[in-house]
Amino acid sequence: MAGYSAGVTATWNSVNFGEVTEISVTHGGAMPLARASTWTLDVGTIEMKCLTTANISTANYGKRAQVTITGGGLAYSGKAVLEKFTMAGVVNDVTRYAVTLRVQG
Amino acid sequence: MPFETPHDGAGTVLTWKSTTYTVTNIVVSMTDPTATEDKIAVSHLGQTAGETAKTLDLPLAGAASGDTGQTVQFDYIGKTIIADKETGTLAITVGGTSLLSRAGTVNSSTLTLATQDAIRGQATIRIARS
Repeated sequence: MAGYSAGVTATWNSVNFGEVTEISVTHGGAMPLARASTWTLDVGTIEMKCLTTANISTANYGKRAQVTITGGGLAYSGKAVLEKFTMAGVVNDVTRYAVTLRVQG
Repeated sequence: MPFETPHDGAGTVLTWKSTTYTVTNIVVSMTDPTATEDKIAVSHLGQTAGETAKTLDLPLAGAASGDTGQTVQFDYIGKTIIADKETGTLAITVGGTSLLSRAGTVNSSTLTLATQDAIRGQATIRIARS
C-alpha cells in the first residue's frame, strides 16, 4: 500500500534542513569500476527543496558531512558533499531554496 | 407527487437606463470580491499525515479592480444594442415588488441575429454594492 511522504526529517552536518518540500535521492550514477563491485566515481546525488535557510549557506559549500534522511518511507544515510545550492526569490511568493548533495562512498 | 412551484419568474420586469427589456432569463450573481482564495502553499515533508496544510497570505495586496462582485446577466429579445461601459440604473421588479434597483455599468453585451429566430441579446451589468 502506498505510504505518505510525511513526517520526513533530513539532516546534514548535524543540522536539519528546514521546511523541506521535496527530496530526491539517487543512489548510484555510474557503473561500478574495477574489482570492487560498489566502487564508482558517481555514488549518487540527493536533491532537496526547502523553504528556510538551514544548511543553505556559502559556508557549507564543499563541506563533507553525514546525511541522514528518515520518515515517510525515506531512509538514507551516508556521507555527502554539499555540491550546489540555489536561492530563488519570486515576486508575490516565498523565497525558495534548493540544494544538491553529492553522495560519497 | 407533484409540488407546486412556490415562485417563478413570471411577472418580472427588468429596466436598464429607463428602458424596459423583453427579458427571457435573468441571473443575479453576488460574490464577495474580498474573499480571495489566493494563498502560498508552504506545506512541507516534516508535517505528519493528517496535519493541516500550511499556507501563507500573499505578500502583496491585489490592485483595486473596481469589481463589486455583483452582476446581473440577462437575455432579452429585441434589436437594442447595449453598449459596453454604459452606466445607468438597473431595476428588477417581481410581481410589482422591487427586487433590486442599483447603479450599474455594462461589463459585456452581445446581440445575435440569426435566421429563423428572433433577434436576441445578452448583457452582463456590474451593479454597485448596496
